[in-house]
Amino acid sequence: MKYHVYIKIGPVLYDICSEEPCKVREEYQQFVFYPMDAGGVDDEASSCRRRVCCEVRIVDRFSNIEGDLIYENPERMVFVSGEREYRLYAGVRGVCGIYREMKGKEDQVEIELLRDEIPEFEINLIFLEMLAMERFLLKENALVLHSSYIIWKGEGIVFTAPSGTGKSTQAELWRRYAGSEIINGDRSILWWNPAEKRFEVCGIPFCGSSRINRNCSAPLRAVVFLEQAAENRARPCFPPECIRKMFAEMSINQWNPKAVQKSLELIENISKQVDMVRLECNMEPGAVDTLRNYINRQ
Amino acid sequence: MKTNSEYMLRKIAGETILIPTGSASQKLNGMIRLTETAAFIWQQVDTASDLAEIVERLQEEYEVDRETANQDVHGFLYQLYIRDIVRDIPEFEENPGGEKQ
Repeated sequence: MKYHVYIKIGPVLYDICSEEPCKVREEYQQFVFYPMDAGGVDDEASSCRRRVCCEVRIVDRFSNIEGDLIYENPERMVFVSGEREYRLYAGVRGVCGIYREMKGKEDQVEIELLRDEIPEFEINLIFLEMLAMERFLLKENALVLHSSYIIWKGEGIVFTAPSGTGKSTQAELWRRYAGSEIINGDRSILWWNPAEKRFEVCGIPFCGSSRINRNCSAPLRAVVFLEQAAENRARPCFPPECIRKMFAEMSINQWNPKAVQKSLELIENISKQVDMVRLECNMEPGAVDTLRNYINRQ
Repeated sequence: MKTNSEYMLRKIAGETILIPTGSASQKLNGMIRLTETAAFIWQQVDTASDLAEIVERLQEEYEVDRETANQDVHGFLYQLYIRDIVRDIPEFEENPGGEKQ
């Protein structure tokens, strides 16, 4: 018997299939659906553009991987063979999981989890990282941006900046003083929705230390580049500056030249279609007024 | 003399940038902004036979004096050479302007 759960990430639906049932960590429940859900996964699936089949196996020994090592950091190693990728993920003692793309099957992947490292199958942070989301999102013209994400009057605003600038602080100010909802404190997905012919912003499970990761989408109203300052000031951020800034805060598989090229094109399109705002700001409520006035004038 | 093929040259909104991909992205994440002159020099590397030829082409293109062109070409390419962004430049191997990093 096979167990299925579904994970919905922006326009991508993962069909996770395994011989062992899995647990889902509480903080990721919003992104997970079960076959028995009323109306259930069919409703969810119909709103997704791409379905990725992911077979999960708990193994005592990993099977072989192919290809050349192209990228390595403390968390993962990436091997490339033709168009296919393999990834090794580090656990506490060594490699805890392998991600493998299948020959000739674009939307089919395998994940092997090492029993010694991972005693039970659980949808948790490390497992979600093994799904190589940015790879499938990009095929649907979606990018992951290091940003806090709020919904204000039905539209999405994302605040981006290097860590420590105050992304979640601005989101919190907007919640308190403008009645916005915070959807994610650390990441968002910017996506070209071809049916609506507009850029939208979607939630993502990853949320850094913010612990806010809701699964909501909205039309993308503005990308706001934050800078700390004593006085609040908002003005447009033009290309190429806004493109450079977005590129720096996007999760891009930079080892892959095609991914870099496509990401750049997408970022250029975002900069043409969505308000790009440079906000010099402090941590006072006045920062909200400054940006709100600017957006309302547009 | 050749450019490291893992570096991608792209023009974005009037600005020329170099982006490391492949294993080069491991060493340097992000992008390098090039001035117009730097981009021109980069584009000569794969077809010129030596640095002197690039200096000549630069002089033809931008009407700069020989000394300035010479400084631009040597200065810029040496910085790229020690970072393995351009390769096989005998002038730098034989007569390095400093220690190879």
